[in-house]
Amino acid sequence: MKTYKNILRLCAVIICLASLNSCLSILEKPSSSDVTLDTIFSNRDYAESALYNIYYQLVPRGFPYTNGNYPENKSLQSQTQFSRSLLASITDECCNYRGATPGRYVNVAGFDAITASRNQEDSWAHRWPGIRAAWTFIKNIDKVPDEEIPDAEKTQMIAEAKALIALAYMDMLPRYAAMPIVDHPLGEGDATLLVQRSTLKETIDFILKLCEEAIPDLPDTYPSNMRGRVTKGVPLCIKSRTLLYAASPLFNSSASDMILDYDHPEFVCLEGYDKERWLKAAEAANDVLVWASTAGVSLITAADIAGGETDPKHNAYGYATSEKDNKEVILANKGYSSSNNGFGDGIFWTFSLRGMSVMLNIIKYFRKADASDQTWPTTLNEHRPFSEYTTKMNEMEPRFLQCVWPAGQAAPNFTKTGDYTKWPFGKIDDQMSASDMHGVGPMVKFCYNYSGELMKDWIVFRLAEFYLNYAEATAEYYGSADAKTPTGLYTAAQAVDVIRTRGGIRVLNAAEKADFHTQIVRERAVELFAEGHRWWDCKRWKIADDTFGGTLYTLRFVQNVAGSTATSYTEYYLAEHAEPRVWTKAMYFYPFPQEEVDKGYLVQNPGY
Amino acid sequence: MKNLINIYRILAVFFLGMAAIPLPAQEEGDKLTEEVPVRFDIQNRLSMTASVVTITAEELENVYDNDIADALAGRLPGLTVMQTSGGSTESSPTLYVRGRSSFNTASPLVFVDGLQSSLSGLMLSDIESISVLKDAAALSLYGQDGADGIIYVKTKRGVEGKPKVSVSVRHGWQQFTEKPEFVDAYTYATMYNEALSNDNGAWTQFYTDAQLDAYRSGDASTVAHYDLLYPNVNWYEKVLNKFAPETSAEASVSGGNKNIRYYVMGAFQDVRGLYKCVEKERDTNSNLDDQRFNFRINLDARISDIFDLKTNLSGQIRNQYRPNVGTSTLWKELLTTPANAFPVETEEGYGGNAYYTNPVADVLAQGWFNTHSRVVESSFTLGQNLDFILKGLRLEESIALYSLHQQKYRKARTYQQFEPYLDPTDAIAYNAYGTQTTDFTITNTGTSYNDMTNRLQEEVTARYGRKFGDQSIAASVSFHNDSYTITGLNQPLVTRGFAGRVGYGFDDRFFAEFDWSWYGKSAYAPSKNMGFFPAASLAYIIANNGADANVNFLKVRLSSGLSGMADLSTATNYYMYQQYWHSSAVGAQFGWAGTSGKSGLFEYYQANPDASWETLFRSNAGIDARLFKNRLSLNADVFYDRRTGILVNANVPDYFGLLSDKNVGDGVVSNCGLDGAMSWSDRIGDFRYTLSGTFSFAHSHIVNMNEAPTLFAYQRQTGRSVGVSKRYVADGFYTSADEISALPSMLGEVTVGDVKYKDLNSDGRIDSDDATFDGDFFSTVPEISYGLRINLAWKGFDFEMGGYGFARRQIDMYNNATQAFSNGLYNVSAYAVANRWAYWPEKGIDTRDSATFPRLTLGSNTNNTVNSTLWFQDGSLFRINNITLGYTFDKRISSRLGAASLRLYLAVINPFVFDSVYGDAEYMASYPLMKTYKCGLNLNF
Repeated sequence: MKTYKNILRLCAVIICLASLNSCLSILEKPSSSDVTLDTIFSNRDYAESALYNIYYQLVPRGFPYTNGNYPENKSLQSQTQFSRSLLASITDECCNYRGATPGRYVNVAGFDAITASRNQEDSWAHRWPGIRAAWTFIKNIDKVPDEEIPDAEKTQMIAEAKALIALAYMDMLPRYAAMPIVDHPLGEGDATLLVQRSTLKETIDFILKLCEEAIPDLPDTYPSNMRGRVTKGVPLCIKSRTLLYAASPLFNSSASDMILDYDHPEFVCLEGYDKERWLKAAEAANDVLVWASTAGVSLITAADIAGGETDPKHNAYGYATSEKDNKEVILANKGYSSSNNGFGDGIFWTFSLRGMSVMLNIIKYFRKADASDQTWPTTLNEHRPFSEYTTKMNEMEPRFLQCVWPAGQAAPNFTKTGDYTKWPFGKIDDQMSASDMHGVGPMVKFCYNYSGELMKDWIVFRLAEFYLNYAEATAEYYGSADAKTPTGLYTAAQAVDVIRTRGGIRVLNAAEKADFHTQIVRERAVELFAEGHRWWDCKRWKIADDTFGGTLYTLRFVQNVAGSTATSYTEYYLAEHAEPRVWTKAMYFYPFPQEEVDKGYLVQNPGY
Repeated sequence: MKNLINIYRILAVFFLGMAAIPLPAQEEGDKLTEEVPVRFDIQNRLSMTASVVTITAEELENVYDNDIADALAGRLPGLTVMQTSGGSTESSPTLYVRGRSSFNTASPLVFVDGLQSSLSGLMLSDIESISVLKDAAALSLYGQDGADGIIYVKTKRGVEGKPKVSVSVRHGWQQFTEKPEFVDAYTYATMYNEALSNDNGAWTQFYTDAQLDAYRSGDASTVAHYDLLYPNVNWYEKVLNKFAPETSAEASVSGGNKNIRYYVMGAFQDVRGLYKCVEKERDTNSNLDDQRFNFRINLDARISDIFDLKTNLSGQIRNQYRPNVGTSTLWKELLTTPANAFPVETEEGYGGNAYYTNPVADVLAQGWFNTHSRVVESSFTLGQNLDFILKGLRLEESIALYSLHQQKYRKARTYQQFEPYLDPTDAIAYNAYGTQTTDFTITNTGTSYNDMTNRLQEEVTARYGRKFGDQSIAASVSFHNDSYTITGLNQPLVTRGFAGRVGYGFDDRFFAEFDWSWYGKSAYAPSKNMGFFPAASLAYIIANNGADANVNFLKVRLSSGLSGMADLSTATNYYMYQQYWHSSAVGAQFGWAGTSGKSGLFEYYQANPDASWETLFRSNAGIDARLFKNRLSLNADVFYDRRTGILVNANVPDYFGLLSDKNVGDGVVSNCGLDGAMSWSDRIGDFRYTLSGTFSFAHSHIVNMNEAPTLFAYQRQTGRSVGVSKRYVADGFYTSADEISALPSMLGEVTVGDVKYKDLNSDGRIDSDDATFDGDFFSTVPEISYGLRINLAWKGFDFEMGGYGFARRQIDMYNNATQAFSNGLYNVSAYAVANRWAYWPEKGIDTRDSATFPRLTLGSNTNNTVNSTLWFQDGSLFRINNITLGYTFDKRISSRLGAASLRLYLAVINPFVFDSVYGDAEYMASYPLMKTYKCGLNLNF
């Protein structure tokens, strides 16, 4: 009996100790197959995927994302974060009238630092994940074994990543001026995460340095299935645009010329005018033109298009701004691998809810086909016969009809038929209310040969821009339209003439050469219409108070329907004020979000 | 052998356990000395220092709810029960213990006999008692599982004696508590015309006068094809029965001798739905049906002086059927299909059109969906009384398993619906929509994410208790390991740690206790996943007099300490401390369109290596009292909470370049309140009565949530109560175009009759800056919940009536049951018809002065539907949720049947509700709560 008891006791102890045994193992996550940094930089597929992610995040896209929905990682590649709007809709180029779209928000409320919904033209946060990914890529790509990716290719990939970082900074430069310089993946090994704004000069130098480092390692071209990647031309373009901004009056000035009083002039100007900046800008633009001539990049002419010579509408310009991968485009955002890339929604054909229409203010920059100026109605609300409108429209230069769709006519550049033949589809009547579409006509740029596709490339760099960059900088430096830089391919005037000739109007005459800056302003407004330049051009020339702060004008079309038959109506058009817009001097720069300022590293821009 | 004893002694010193404290004599079954289950122990109520409220089987005698959680409403102070939808088939109620002290987590965990489980697997006959653990002294033992409160259920066990058989059967008829009114075809058509006119700014008729006349007074003799072209269908009546049956039966046997005791129970419950389905055969019947079979075997065995054994085995097989259309979809259809949309049936088949599906056909013609689930819970506990080593020492080792398996099975077909119209020759023709399939397709939908869960728990406990003269010592320590696996989440969640208590008693008057746990969860970084949760508590019995005194008993309790709550669902990443990389679904595009879309790998949300749990610091003071010759009993607690470590977004600069996740524990909420219960019992001759009530109040205050700065103080959520939403302040309706141009709305296009809001920042327009947190705003979770109950008994009769109420609560009244023509589609609700803004003087319509609903419109009208004070209305209510009348037959009669007792009863569940909103303030626009009439009998042998 005693033995039995002892056995029981022994059992008790064993049970007890055995169960305590499990306490001693450490509590942790079981092993798993998670993807880590080391996995990514172990083979070609993963490493390429990491590189493509940088493209996805950093190449600007001016067409909006459908409905403003964000992709999974919330970092929009769109330059403008408007849902259903374009940057042009907050300039004097276009309006986007119906509904409380974010584009309209900027127009009615301006920017402020606190209400995020008002600042939807740009999100301060959205490029940084791409910049981080690029630095992480540059830091780790060497870990990939050579048999997976050879050294030469790694070097090229690093150059691509650097150019993309420069592109992101170039994109932020006119918005925010001086920025914090992030030059490595932050975190590991950093004593502090606090990166304050560098000066404007340092920011510009940082962009230029990245470009210089990238240029030697990049190819001139890619196979056709890799169009959209960074060529040698891209950092050259970044340099040209950055240096043009640096040379222009907004930045190239002393503290006393600032738009608003500000304690930190080093953040918003280069603290003194330096004429040499124009020369650098001219040379950088010339570098693009020189590179283009050797790399197979050139302006589209009528001869490049099958049947183009006979097209009365002279569609070389429409082709160059609409066709994917044409030889004039140096870099384009080629959309997402998804049909929701926003093109169809941003330029919405039925205009029942949204869409772009062109303002009367901007079409004054366009000329008639004979290069003389058109006369537009100046008396508000004066009823004028509709036929006069049609006549005036048909007198305009060819590029005009690649940008504007005259009311009551077939779309000038569509191959798609059906409902797309006439705007606004017989709905002109006196019941059009204040919320209906206004404008000279709908915008149809980017729609050459439009046949209903949902995907369009957004042009980031197009060769034509650099002719104009060159012309402007050269003329500013030498004070003459006939000057050229030591290595220049053209004189300033010749460069403009190249663009005018391609556009289908005659070259500059002597009087126009003498008033060259005015011609530059006009030519940029026309050639680069709606491509996202005017918002910055007017600011760098410091004329935004007039162009954006002035009154906007539009036309309105009225069709009095007698009875229900469409045959007996009288129609007329009239000029009137467009919706009032908010413009303040503070809007020369964008505010940093207040919550970022509160984190203690940023000094807010003036006026916010 | 000696060494062994020494090992035991060492262990014994390490593990201190609780002694059974001798107590002053009290009446049998008295609540003052009841046994209260606490974690790995049973404590006597008298010596308890913690705040735990308990309800016993006896008090649940008149509970006949199909879901036990429903029955707890208003019965336990500190516990708020919100019934969400009718019928146990659809959903269980939402429970809160002491309100919400976190903006992320809230629901208390349920433990059944020490095993984490749920209430829905239990039947009434299972339950010995249900306790709510409220303060730190009770919750600290649960580590990271305790801070939201614990509901602890103890199941019945056998007692020594002859076998006792208990049988209970009942049958019931369910009915709506409140059914929304249905708008008829004529009213719909007139309202449609009004909405169209409102949009056009001039009176415009979509429905002509002739059509309106036909809807109002037409019939088949005056209008050709009247039934097809002028349908007037009340969809509720077509789809829903007035009553639905339910049945349940439970039987148990218990008994035992000194070596073995048993409790064996079997139960069946069948609850049907309200849908009209004539077929009795399950093959084609698609009505709601919830069948449950439960069983339980609880055994206690004494093996030797040292060893004893306790096992529980229980299970449930549940078969739930519903029509092959989701219940929420069907209810949306019922509420939003206009009366004149189409006839129920045409000669071709079911009616229908391009915009609506036919609710009748959705129930009858689509087959059914079956969810079959099986739950097995079992536990096995081996105990050793080690008095031979150290008097009062006991060890227990338990292993417990919970397993749920669910299968989903669908028998589906599709139907065609037909829209009648007049062709050019004035004959009836049909547009057909959909496709008709005659045969059912049978699909086993397989298992999804949480269809299979397993929980394995192991626990080792040592207890020691001893009394030395006036003083007593009680202590226990336990090791707990819990491994929880969900299919689809292949990483089990492991919870592991130690917990213990040390109690000291003096003179049966003064008690002090220290409770602690050192617990961890595998979801956190290995070096930081263990937390220590201590709590200290005191109790002092001021008075403990005989039954004849006016102050029979008075005790005060004080406690303070920590408990935790692991919030593993708020952050995007389950393992918050690990950096993840993801592949984007959409990515960069190269080359000509479509040739080369590339996905991208990107660093996912920023990991937080320090991610941790919520910590609740709760202080509690309470009293328990018996007064006036034991007639008045009272307990009340006040508490103050401060919860830290609530997950919020990180606060790193944007240029850091990683998106921040909600994984940083910077959130802080304070919460305070009081809860208590009171009851008065007395007898007058043969007549006995009890009046009782409970009261719970909790008010929370967000101290920090890393909120971004706001331009205006009224937009700050910090400082408001948890769950309160930002609202626009409605200020009547726009009455003129001038008013609109003076105060335009950026929220949508507005016209007269649309909601006007207060321009809080005076900037001359209504936009997002005008939404505010500042006002008498409450969330849908009530700050006050209470219960009232009356029990009467006279000779063989017994009567109970009880109810619960909510106050300081607001609900959003804009939903499918109150909407009108969303985007031009949908029905118009009776609520909208009765309250709309309308002004058409030439038609004699002017409701401007009385309107509480904006003008009708066929557009989307985002201005009107934003969260505003127009829609958030007082959600206070009082619901009588139980009336029972029973009669127990005289022993002489029942013994003639061979029974020890026989009781018959009639009961009504949820008979009345008192509230101030349209419809039922507790559920909106979904399967309604059920009012159920029941009759049944209890038989004991």
